[in-house]
Amino acid sequence: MALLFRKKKEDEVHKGDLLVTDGIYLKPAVMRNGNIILNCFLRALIVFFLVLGSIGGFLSAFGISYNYLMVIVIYLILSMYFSFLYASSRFIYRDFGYIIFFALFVGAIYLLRIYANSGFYTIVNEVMEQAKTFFNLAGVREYEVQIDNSFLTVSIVACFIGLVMIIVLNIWMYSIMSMFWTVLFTFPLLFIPIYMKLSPDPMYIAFMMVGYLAVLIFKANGHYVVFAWDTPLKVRGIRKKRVSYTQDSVIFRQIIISLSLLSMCVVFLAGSIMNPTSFERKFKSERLWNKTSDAIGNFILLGFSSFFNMYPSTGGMSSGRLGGISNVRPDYMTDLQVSFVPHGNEGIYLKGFTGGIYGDNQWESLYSKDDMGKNDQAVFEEESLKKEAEILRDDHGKYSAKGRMIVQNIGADTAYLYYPYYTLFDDYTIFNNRNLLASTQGIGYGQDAEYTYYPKIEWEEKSINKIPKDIDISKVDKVFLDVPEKNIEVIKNICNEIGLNDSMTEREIVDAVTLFFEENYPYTLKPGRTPDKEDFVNYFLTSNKKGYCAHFASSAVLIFRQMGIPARYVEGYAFSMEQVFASEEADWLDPDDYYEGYSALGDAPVMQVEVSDAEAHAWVEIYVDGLGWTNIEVTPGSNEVTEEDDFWSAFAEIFQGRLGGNDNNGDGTANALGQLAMGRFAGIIYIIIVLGVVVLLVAFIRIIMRKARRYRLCNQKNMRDALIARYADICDMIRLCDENFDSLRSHKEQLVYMNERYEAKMDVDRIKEMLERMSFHDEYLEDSRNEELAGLIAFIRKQIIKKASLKTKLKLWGR
Amino acid sequence: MKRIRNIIRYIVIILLDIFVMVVFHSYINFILLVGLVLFPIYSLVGVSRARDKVSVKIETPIEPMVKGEEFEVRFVLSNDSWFPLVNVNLNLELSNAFYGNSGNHVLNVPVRAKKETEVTYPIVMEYCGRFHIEISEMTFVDVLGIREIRRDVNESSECLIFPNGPERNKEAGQIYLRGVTEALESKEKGYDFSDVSGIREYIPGDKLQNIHWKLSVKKDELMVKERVNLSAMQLNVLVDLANDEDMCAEAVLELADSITKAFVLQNLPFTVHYYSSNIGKIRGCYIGNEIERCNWMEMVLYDKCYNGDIGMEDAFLTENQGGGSYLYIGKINGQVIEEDAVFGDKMTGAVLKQQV
Repeated sequence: MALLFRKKKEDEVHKGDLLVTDGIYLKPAVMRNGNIILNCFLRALIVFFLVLGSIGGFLSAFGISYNYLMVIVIYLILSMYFSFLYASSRFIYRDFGYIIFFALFVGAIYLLRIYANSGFYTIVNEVMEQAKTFFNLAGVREYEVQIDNSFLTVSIVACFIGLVMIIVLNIWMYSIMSMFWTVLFTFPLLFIPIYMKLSPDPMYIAFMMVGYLAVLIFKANGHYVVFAWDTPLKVRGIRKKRVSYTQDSVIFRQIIISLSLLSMCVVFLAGSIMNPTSFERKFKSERLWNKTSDAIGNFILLGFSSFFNMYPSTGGMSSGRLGGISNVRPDYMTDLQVSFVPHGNEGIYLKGFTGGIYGDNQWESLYSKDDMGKNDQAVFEEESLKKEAEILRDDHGKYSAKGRMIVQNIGADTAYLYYPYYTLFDDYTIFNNRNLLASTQGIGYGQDAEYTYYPKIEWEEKSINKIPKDIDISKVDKVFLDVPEKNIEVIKNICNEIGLNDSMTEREIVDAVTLFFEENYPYTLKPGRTPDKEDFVNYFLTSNKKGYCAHFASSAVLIFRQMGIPARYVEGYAFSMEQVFASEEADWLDPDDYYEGYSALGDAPVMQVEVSDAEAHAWVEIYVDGLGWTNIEVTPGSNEVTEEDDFWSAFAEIFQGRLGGNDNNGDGTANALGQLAMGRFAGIIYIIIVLGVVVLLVAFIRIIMRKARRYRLCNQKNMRDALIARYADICDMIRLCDENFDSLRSHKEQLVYMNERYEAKMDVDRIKEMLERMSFHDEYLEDSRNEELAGLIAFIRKQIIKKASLKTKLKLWGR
Repeated sequence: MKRIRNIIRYIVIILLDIFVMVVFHSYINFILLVGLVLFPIYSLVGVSRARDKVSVKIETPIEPMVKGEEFEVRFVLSNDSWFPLVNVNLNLELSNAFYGNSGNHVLNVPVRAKKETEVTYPIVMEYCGRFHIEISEMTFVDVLGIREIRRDVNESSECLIFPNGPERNKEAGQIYLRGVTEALESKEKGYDFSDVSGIREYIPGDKLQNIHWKLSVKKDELMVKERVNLSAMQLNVLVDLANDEDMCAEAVLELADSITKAFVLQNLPFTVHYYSSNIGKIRGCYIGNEIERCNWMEMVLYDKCYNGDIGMEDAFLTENQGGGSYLYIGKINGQVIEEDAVFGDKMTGAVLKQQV
């Protein structure tokens, strides 16, 4: 007993000391301040290297220059600030430190918001520019930069982004020195230039290498974490005692210097062995890029929605279906390649779908579902303007001309032919545009269609100057004058609003409608979805009052019909002469093979035009007495220059919104609430979800690993050690249930507590003696006593779980 | 296990780097790969080079320390190579040679390149005795933690830990007078009541009690203290260093320290006897001043305690048949009459006994 008393007294006196052997204790030493400061500085240096390597590498890969001195100084200051803050001995310093930082951060954000905004857009523009070249994208957009001084603005945004990385990395560095998280936080940024085959400056690669290797070394050798409250001698291990001496910043410094020298040598060596160009040549396969460049290109343009590239979110043909989409997202990929000789300044319209009957928010063609195709030829002949083409072929006076156009389908809907106006087909029994039954009769992917057309170069204006009631409509199907019942009232009201009357000529009506739309109905690719049970045209004309080509064309058709002008809805592709002139000149093709006759442009070469889905269009054909069906453009021009809809824009808008940047609405709500449609944040939400899942997964794996380690300890062969581990385990469990348990230092106090709280009904003194014999004297108990103790511990364990609240049970499970 | 984990981690990193390099044709990863391939070479060469260039020295206090007092053990590791090592493991054995207990653990130290690394170990001994620290092996781990190289070393140091008995001047004076009176009354013996006048080499025939043990150990030859007789008055003190599970030897040493210290303070010469486990017989030592007392204490602590009753009192009586009284300091197990137990508790104490 005297021995036990002495032991107990010693335990009290030497609380926190390491018992080396009976009577010999290792006292905790005091950490030297100089060592803490140096250690913090060196740790900050690792974070600094990693962040500068990552962000600087990214910027250098894209050739974006910034103020090196400013960025380096700020990164160093921030790294050190957070490193010292994290290692600080008093939590109050930490709290105040973070509050001060937060106040400064908010102030900096407020003062520098325009600079940060501009810097961010400058970077995005540079990336998009590179992406445009790399992915051969036609339609990347450039963001307006408010401050042109990119040297300064990029530096500022680099500091803000670096700040976030520094905070996060600093935490990981101090807590687990994890290579996984270090790479995860620093390397993905470099994937963007890597994918585009751009290399950062070697200096930044060296920085990253120093950072990664330093993390590897300190992870592999123990953390050497130095907090101000730490002791330089840390005791690790239960069975085999191990004391680690952590107080040595010199070794930290020597390692970093060694790594820096080594990294510089490696970069120099690798650079002298192989430069990026010769390295690239070693790889013959471009399979990855071939397979993924389209998807990545789309991703750059559209964000995550590009992965769900269904009809409603894309451009291209809609086959007369209306209203099911909230916005049009062209992917700017080539749909058609058109080779022809331009002959005038007017845009080119390639007809695809022709809608005659309106109802249920869609246009239907005149191809009948019931006649087994008997009338298909007649419908197609009318739809393709055969008669008009024949007239032009036979007699167009001095403007007679004949053109040849080759249209290759690259990505357009294969249900249709895409032919220019006044095309004469060789065989009208073969071709038709009946998409319902014979979709395969369109142009298949990769296939060419060759058309002969007879351009109408000069209009006889008098023909269109008839008032509608004078039009001879006997040659036109009556269906082209039908206005559905539910639209009549709205259409009439609109006609009145426009000021249309029966005395107006076709030209006047067309002009009035076009002007009315232009003045009152803005063009947008994001009109929003037509609500269920609402009519597409009525909703557009009366409620929404904004839309894209299908809205204008559909409404105009019904207005024209209401006014007595036969009209129909057409979908296809339209492109301007500006686009033609900006296209590639097919100098290997002979223009004479493609065009003959009058041309307003004189001798023009054959042009090869890449027509993307952004050129997909809907327009109107009206019947003009004497001229037949004529295409009319009623869609106003787009004013959408700043309203962006891709991932980068959404991301940029968030950034802008947070910084209180541009306010498109002028009422202060644009970025705060007005445009916060969920769809816009889909990408961010996906990222958050993915990150959440990753975090959960990692947490789960960590829990499992901890459990496995605990299981191994508690079930080891050495029963004495196993029992000690089990007892420690139930003590840990109780600590989670009741913080006060921590204050019970002796075995006896703990056992009494267990007896009372968990109704263990044990002989406290006996069990205490057994525990102390095992713990302090390395004694082995008899098997029967081992079993008794094991049973008791198991019982208490069950009781702990049983008596724990749900919240505590979760804590117990997750420990 | 940790090494395997480090190796696996490193291989995984290299494989990932190669994967990114090959799949994305990434030049960055090519450079990183060169670094990742070269670095283990640096690491492994470094540890091999450093292995032979690292030396370790242990420094303990030269002067004896007092039990319960913190003292520092310094490990000085010097590395003459250019390679810093983050992990060098020293297999340490710390022991109290007097009680014969020892414990092992590993001290994990980073070793600076081209410099000395000094680690201070603050130690507290709860028992007096001879603190001995020894490094039998060093393990050098390369900076990547993938290879361990062992090297045998034989470096040790020790330090004496004296007991710290409380002051007992008054009681000691009384018992001395009583003891000496009784001794003179019974029979005068020609004890060597003298002072030290010098140190010289051992000459065969010299009294064993005059051997300066500590100096002899240091000089590796027997040294003796030359004495000048001062008085014939003396008291025999018999210290029984028998130990048990309650560490009674510790109490005995403490008591002996108190009493002898008090005697010396009051200039009361005496001869102290104890059983030496090292030589297997009773050893007597005349003490006239503090230096002699410290020497005697050192001599005792260089010895070992023993377990159980080995009949040392009988042996003492056999060797000293002159009669008179002597002061027994040892385990009394509560069998002594209350008034005889001069100090101590019921288990250990100092008892004035009369030779038969």
